[in-house]
Amino acid sequence: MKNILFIILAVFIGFNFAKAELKIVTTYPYIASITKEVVKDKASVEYLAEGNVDPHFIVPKPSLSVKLRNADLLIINGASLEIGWLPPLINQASNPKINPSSSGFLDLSQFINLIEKHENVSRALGDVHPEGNPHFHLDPYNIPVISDVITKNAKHIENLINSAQSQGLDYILQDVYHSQKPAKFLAEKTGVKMVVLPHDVWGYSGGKRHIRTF
Amino acid sequence: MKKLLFAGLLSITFVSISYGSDDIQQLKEELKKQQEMINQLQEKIKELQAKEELIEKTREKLDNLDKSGIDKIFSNPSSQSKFVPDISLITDFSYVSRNLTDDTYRQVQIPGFNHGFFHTHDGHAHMPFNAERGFNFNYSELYITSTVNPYFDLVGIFHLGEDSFEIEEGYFTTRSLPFNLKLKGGKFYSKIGRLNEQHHHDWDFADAPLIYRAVFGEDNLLEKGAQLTWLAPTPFYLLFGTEVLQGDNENNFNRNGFLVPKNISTNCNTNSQNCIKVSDTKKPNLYTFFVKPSFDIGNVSILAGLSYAQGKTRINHLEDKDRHALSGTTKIYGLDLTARYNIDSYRYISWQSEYFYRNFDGVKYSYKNNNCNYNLITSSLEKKQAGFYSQIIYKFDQRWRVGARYDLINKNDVFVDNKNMNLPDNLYKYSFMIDFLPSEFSRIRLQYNYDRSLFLGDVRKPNNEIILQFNMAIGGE
Repeated sequence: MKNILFIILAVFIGFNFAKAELKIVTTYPYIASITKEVVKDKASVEYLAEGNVDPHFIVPKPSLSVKLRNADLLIINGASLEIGWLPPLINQASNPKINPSSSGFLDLSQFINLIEKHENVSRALGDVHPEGNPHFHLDPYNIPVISDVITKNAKHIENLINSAQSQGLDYILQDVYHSQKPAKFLAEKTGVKMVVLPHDVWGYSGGKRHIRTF
Repeated sequence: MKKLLFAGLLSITFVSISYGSDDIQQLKEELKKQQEMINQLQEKIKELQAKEELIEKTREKLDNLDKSGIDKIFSNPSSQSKFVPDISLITDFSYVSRNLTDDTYRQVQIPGFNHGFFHTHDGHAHMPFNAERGFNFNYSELYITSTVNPYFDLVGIFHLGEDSFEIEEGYFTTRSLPFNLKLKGGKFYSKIGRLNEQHHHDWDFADAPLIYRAVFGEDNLLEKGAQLTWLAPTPFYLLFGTEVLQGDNENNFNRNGFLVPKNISTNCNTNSQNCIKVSDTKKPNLYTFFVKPSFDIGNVSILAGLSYAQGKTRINHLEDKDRHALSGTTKIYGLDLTARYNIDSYRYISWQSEYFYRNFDGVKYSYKNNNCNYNLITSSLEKKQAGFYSQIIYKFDQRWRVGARYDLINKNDVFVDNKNMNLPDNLYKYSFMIDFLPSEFSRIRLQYNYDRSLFLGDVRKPNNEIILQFNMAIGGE
């Protein structure tokens, strides 16, 4: 019995170590292919929905939350396109890194000028997206915007290190709600002091000689 | 002449020079004045530029404010309206036609399992769905849910009947536990089995499967307690979970002890030495465990489940017409399997089955009529009961689904003092449904049931039932 338990544990731990590289998961294949171009072989990129099905109606199969379980970054289309199927998967995955509004969650629609925004919405209009038309990737001029956003996000830490070194920063700011790991990592890399504050209170001060990681 | 001309020219030149030096002086002064003016102007421009910059920056800030007139009018410095939780309302309304009269339907029982769908212990269980012939307002359910802070989500689900308010579920879940762990606490549906956690409006039929109604009652396993789940780091989906629950379920567990009078006429409040005291159970009383693996084979998704629940039993029917009480231990084993074949984005075929086995081992307290003198008899009681349902749902169009379900209770062994009571064990039911979904927020369903599980005394009462169900949702759900 003990041996069996040991083997099961060993197998689980083995799975854990097998996935040491940065893991990015996207909701749709088009985001995955742009991301793949950005990160090359620096991170693994997976997507949830198959490309040959209606993007509104994806079946939230339990197997999809397995992909989210170890993700470091989740990139979504946004503008309510995933509203019907993604929330239960995020919930099932129990992965705090990719919770909405954490730094491992990227909603592309936030960076796009959406068209066909409704002045007034009502379900009487049928299935409307209140944020505007979410199929923005069909406009080729939006693709550079998307890839720029993904690049900035994927290189978040790298960018932070670069700007920390070039600007001669005084402090790295950290609040009490977010994981301190990125700030600690940055502090070690650059030798800049990390300051933990209850809130982001320095955002308005004139001197920009500080940086935050969350 | 030449000399004269020269002298003249000279004098003119001299005069002009002398006159010119005056002029230059003037010009210089003029230039100085102008220079001063330019300086002044430049200064003024600088001043203006600075002012303009300030105005520009202020305007930027104002622009960033981005507030419409109405926002300004109704501005409230302590307003939290941006943090309004997601709210939705779901209403279920039905029309029922059945061959059993309402009076009979209220009395029929599934032998060995329950005392009818309407039986309550302390009167708080809600009415069964589709209780009456004709129109039924089954419920309005109010969902309020939001993130509490970076650490918790909170869900409140309020079950509103025509004249009742019930907190059906009210629980928090954690958002940021490490190792893919999730903790849930409050009042919630246990995650055992496949259907138990789902709400009525998510079911594929208008009523719960027979085995659910027989074993768990009309509320399924709805309990207060805590749940811990762990999504294992395997390449396929593998969820482990355990729950510690108070044990509220009146069909199986309960937790409050009682006094059993040795004679039916004894009043235990005044004469407790003539009563047997059955103590409270340990609280919490109910423990569950479940494992749920899932994997895909091509377009087919498989979801399986193994469940176990164990707790002490305290069932008090001493106030009923047929006075009796039970005390003992109940163990419930569950097995479920769902296979779903996704044809395309809109069509699928799903096959779902669940099997439950219940074992009760304990003591039954009842009364024997001896010349109108009812004396207590204490007998050992063991129940070994099991049954399953199996259903197929075919969504053949974006808006249409059809389904069939077969229910069977095939084991109903009740031993009183080790003697089998020979209760009926071929309790079965057929259900067929077709539903139309104008959008994902509304459902109209027509269901037919043929039910051979209901008995009045020893007489089987076959039930033919047609249910037309309207289920609508508004808001964020």
